Amino acid sequence: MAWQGKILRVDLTNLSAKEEPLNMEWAEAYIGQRGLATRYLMEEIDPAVSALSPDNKLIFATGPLTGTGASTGGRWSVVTKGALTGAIACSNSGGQFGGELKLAGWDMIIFEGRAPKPVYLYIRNDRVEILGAEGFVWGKTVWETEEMVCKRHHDPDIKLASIGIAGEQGVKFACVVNDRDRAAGRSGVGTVMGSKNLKTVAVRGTKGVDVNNPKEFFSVAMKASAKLNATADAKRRGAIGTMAMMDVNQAWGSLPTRNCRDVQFEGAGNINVAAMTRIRESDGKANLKTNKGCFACTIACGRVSEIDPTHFSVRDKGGKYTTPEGGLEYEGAFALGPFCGVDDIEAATYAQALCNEHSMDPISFGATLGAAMELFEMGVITTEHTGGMALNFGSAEALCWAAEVTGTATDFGRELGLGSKRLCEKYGHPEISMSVKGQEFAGYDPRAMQGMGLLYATSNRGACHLRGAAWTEDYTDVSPVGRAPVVKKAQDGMAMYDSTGLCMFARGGFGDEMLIAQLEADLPGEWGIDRLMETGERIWNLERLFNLKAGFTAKDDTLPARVLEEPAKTGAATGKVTELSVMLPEYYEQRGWSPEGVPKDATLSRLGLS
Amino acid sequence: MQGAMGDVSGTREFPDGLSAHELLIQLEMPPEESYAVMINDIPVSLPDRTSRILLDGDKVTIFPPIKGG
Repeated sequence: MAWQGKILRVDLTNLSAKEEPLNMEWAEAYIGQRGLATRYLMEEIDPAVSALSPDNKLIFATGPLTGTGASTGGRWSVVTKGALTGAIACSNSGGQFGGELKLAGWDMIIFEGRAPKPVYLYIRNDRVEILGAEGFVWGKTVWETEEMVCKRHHDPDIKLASIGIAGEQGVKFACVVNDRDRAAGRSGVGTVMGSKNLKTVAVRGTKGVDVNNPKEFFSVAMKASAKLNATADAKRRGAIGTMAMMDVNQAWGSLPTRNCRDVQFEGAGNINVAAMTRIRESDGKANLKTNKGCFACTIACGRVSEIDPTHFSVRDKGGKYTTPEGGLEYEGAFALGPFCGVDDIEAATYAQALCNEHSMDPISFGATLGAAMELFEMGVITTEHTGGMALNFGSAEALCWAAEVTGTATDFGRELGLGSKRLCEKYGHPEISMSVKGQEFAGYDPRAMQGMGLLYATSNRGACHLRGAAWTEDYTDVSPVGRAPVVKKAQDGMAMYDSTGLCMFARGGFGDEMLIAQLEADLPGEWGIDRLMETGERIWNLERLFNLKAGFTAKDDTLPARVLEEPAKTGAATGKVTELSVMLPEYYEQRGWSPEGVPKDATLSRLGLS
Repeated sequence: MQGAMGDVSGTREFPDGLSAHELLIQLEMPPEESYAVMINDIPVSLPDRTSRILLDGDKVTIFPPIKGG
């Protein structure tokens, strides 16, 4: 089977590491990755501990299909208590790192404690070393770290998952970046890594993965890829990527603009797919260079961009940012663009590059800057606070400056590094933060997408579009009616899928049938859809239990007053607000939770959680 | 006719009395794939598509069933 059957437990406090068998009973009950790591975390920490204390743990986890060669089977997750939110955090990434970890013979790494001095972990198959990072890569960017570690160990094929300076310096929305531009992005998982004095995990794996039935697996994986590749959805993702959502949300009126004061952006046409592919007068090139895929992926939705070398952000930087690098994906683009009122695609691409090299979640960074811009225009934040920079909506100069100072945690960047909730509270206006449970909105305004509003309010890791959205319903009808069961089912489905090692973008193309066929050739036993969906529900409830123990209550299942009280000015939801009060009681009922949002005994018993 | 994402855009003539539902079929966009439809920037929900007849000068926006990420 594709499980290596081994966990690496790293005690950072005592600088020691040991091998443990994977708990197969839990793997059966939670599939892997998100579900399995959450089960370990729930067992091993008190959810009430401070996220940045040595008592919190940090788990890097693969799924049973990670590293197998199933299309998109390169996903891995970072699971911990989130520094941004104080809630359960599970951030999912692609790239090459997850597959490499599995190929090195490890299903999961659990980091405990805090290293007395900065360190990095080096894994070459069974060989595991905890090495000093001080005087070496500590203080360096993600990109420098990747280059220096590969050079020191004389192997350009080492794959790394690292933090940059933002992660070291406690920026609350620091992420873990692997392969230069892929990230376990949300909830401050990189901040937790930094608090443990852990700079990077460098892995080289050459062992391979043994699936349960190799012949059958190869056959079904090929069939599944062919089915996926033939879909219009997969072709569209490869050609135009997630940036397609910019035009969709602009047309629908669900594009969060200027800190959600507006839902459509007059400059959207300068920061969309068309703008990305437009030939520049300055150098005869387009912003978009090409696309790329993660480990074993046959979709290849990733954007690779070249910034205009004459742009003000990069022209004096010695060519550092003008070679092809990871470009704008929609979630970064909406936050660095419309949310801040900026329509300069080159500036946004530069800010995205800084998020990658310094390890910042571009969603939370952009959304925090958007909140700061509103506070600036209210006169609450002034140039005295910023050291002279005017934070007006629409200022590309402010965007680039803010990415520089936040990424390096200098000057006013330390304030922006608090995240929007803490920043807005500090300046006396908590209502200006567009966040839930401390985590900033993703790129969908919940007034025109009522199901998204319910998802933001109930997502276990705070506002998030990747925890189970009602896409089809939200883009066909602006109504709260009937959203609760759809969102509940989508949440369970995502929790399940995030536990397999596959990418959510393959789900529609594969269909349930191909997912199950690949799992059954990979693992012992039968994995029908009922079992998978019940597992997703088990994971969702386990995450909810974690949050309840961490101190969250039903009062936290809410949205900022702006989207509950201020109607959308334009678009499909003109005159409408998010009707959370209509959806939430039905959602609790659908979940088998009390009106106070607590799972009932019968629900926990049915799911094996009592 | 204006397509999302700039890939299909322009003006086209259709027979009188065509419904939004029938338009999707004419454009080879299977309605069961949940294309989102707006006419003159107003969403047309699924149940209303068979009764919403296109009129001269209508601007139709159609989104493919793409999901975010």
